[in-house]
Amino acid sequence: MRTALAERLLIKVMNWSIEEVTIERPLIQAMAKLKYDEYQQFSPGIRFTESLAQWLSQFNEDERKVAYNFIKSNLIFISNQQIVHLVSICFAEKINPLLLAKAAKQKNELPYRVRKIYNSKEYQEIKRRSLFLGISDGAKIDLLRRTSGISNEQVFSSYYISSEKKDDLLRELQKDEYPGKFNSVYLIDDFTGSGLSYARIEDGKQTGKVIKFLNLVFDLDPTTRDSLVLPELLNKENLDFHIIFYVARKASVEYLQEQIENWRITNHIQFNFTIDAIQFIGENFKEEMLTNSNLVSLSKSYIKKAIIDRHFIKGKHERYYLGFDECALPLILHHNTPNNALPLLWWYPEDETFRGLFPRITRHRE
Amino acid sequence: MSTRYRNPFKIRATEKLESEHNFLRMFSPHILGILIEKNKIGKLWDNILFIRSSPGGGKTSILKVFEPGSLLTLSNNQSTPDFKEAFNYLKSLEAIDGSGNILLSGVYMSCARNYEVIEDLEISEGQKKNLFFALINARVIISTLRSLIALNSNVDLEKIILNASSFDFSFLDISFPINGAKLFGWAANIEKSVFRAIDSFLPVTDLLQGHSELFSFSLMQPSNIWIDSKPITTNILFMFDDTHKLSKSQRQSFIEYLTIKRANHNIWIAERLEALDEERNFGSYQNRDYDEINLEEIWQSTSSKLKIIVANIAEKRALMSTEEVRSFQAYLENNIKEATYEEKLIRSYEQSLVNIEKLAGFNQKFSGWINYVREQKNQLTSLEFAVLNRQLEILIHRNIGKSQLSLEFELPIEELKQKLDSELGVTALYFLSIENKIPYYHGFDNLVKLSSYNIEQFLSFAGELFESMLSRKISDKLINLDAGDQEKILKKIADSKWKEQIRLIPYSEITIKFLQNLATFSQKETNKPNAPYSPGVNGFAIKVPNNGLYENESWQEDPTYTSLMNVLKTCLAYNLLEKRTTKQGKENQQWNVYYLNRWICLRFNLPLSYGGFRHKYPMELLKWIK
Repeated sequence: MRTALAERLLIKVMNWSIEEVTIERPLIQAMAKLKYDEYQQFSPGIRFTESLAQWLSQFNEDERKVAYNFIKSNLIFISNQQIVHLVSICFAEKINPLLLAKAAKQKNELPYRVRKIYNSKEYQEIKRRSLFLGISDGAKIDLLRRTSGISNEQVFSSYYISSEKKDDLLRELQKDEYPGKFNSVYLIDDFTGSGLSYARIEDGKQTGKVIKFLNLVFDLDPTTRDSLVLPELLNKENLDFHIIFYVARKASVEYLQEQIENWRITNHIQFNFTIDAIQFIGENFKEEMLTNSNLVSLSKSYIKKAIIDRHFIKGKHERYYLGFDECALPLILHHNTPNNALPLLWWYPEDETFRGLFPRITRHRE
Repeated sequence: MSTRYRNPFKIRATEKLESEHNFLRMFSPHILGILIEKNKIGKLWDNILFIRSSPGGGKTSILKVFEPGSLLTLSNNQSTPDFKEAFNYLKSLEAIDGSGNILLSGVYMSCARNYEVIEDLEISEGQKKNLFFALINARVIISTLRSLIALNSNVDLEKIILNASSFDFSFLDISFPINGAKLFGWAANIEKSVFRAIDSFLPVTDLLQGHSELFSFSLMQPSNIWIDSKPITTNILFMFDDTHKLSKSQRQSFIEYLTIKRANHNIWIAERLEALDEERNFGSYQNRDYDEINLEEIWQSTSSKLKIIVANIAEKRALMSTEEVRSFQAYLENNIKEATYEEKLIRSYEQSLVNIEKLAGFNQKFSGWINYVREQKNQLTSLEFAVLNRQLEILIHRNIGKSQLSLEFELPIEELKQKLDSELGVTALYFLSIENKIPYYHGFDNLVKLSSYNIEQFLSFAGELFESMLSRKISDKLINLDAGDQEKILKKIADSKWKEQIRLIPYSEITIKFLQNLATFSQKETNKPNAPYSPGVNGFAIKVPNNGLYENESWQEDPTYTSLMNVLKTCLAYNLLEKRTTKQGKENQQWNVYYLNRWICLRFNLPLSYGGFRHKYPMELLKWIK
């Protein structure tokens, strides 16, 4: 019943003819049912159709057409099912090839002799001496563990590990007849749009989640209470460091590579590292948004400077109406919209002068 | 999961719905009347019965009704209004008795699975046939056991005993009595062996011997099957679906075996018309060794029954919608809004008057007719008057066209009144509608005609009409679709169907060319001013070339006509042409007439009625492909 009311409102807002209703209504219902209704940050009682009707009613008649066509043609919504799929293939697609490559090198074996390498003790050791850490809860590290067949004793949901946990992990490693430390560490997270949360320059210094992690591992940050945990867990002298994202912008991965390389040079520390993603988002999506002058103009009209907060200024923000670091992504994640996405999609200020189609969680906390 | 849908007309292949409730809700049981007719003449049971139609004709749905799931649902819901009718039909067919006891166990097997792949094995033809028969036997046994378990929920395989005569089945490496679990295992092993041969990349060295007989039908007979130490009381009905998916040789050997064997088993075979050979489709039909139900042919001969069935389907589907549009037919206006088209109708009869004046103004022959028609003006509506004038125009053309010596006497009005029949009225209405862009393709009767006796085709049109009704409802407008709305929607669908043929059918380029030329030819023949082939031409019959080169239909084997045969086979298989038998000419000669599917008639503004066709030689038809 509620959906019918929302559809009625939508029809009035868009001023559709009967022919247009016949075409658009099945599409909207299909989009809602397939993915958009599962967005987790809708208010209670609101689903996609209701939100769409409210969102479009904010614009004038011509603007509504631009906004609606954008949703129909350009929006990328990554559903829970899709993320779960990416998690379930992560080991096979990204992690296992690295393990096999390392084992092949160690054994001096030809890399295509996969079964031989897989059955070797070198492979088993390399796998067991790998530590898998989640950077955020988006990493779904529990699901990764279950779909990868890796031990519970080499997985943790954060890189802030207590001393007791460290001891547990090392004890279990020893029990499995691998005395000593872990040789490889995999940092896992769900999404990066700019890379800035992981590495950036602030007040002349490098900071960010990954930089902090490296500082901890190589004992460059003695101020934290557990500063000795990671160096005792990981073999710094012979460390392989891997970061894997489920979804990432290509540019952000390249940016992170550069940042970590700079960190290595600055700190004169050598280690092997790779950064990869299972699903890349190409720069073509941003380009498409920027070449849509009507859409950019719409964003400029409705998104105010008030969007700039202490997090926003960490990235480029001259064209703040393009989202964090001016990424202009047409992207929604089912659990929350990243602030790299076009603010038209998510911005919902305190004064409620605008309401995004897929409101971002920061609004609702306040 | 919700059992209601926004637009239930868009659900196709309802036989694939997991829920029997939903399937039976959408199923029109009147279609089972065809089986009742067969039963009356003793041709339904203990017989091999072919159920044939083009895609979407309803074959698989008929089979699904006899599956255990459907029978149990009906048996447990005898009084439910949604299922009462279906229950009664099955009672008449002796599939269920009055108390709801199930008397029949339908065993469904699809021939779309893996059989054709056997042909790719590098083994002899004999071995391929044996493997094919072995796979059939295995699946018949497995499916029958599954069916029995589905019907008897508290029974497992261990409780089923097969007690066949060891003498009759001495060639099998199993001994009787044998329980269901062991029999299942034995059959499953046969299936696995066949798959091993299919899946192997290397030549198979320990190839399964296979079977030279389809013994499973005789083996899995009620007399041999015991459950809980009691013989079963249900009959077994073996149903094979999609046998057109077998290879040509597989299908041939399968049917030959069954028809030659002629055992009294209940075997139904559902297949598309594309499986049929040229003789069946293009030749005169000789005596068959089996019984056949051709769904489209049946609807052609009893179109009123089809109307009842599709009306029933439409109402059932409308009731299942989540929107508040609870009927379908009620919202389809059958007539044009005459007031809306008043101007056009006036223009039409004024034009007719001018034309008549030009044709007949030079002599007195038609003055009586013309005056009579003029006198009707005040008693008739604009529409009726326009039709009458158009009829007169046609009749005058016909009269003028006859090469006869005329003494130019004024023709009597009685003659005019005699000639003003309903067929001419239909033709006149068609002409004036098309000429003046007045809606012609509207109303439920025309929608039924547009289905070309195919239920899926009916749903494809009805689905869009219903969607428009839903859109009107949610937009707070009157739900009713007037004639103009209906025609607009129907034409859009026909146009879309036409455009998609290029990627749907084999030999698409030449087939489309052929149909385009046939349609253009039909338009030309139909729109002659004297309407000689009233109500219009939309088909052809093939005349055997009389050059002495060919006897009967042997021209079909001439390589010159290969492309034409490919086009015609494609058109029949994909229901672009419909075949009908008609008697015409000397000694009531029988002709196979190939009519354009009604949706193509709609696309090319041709009439929807059957009857008008022209004879064409194969060489003339061949030119339509070039």
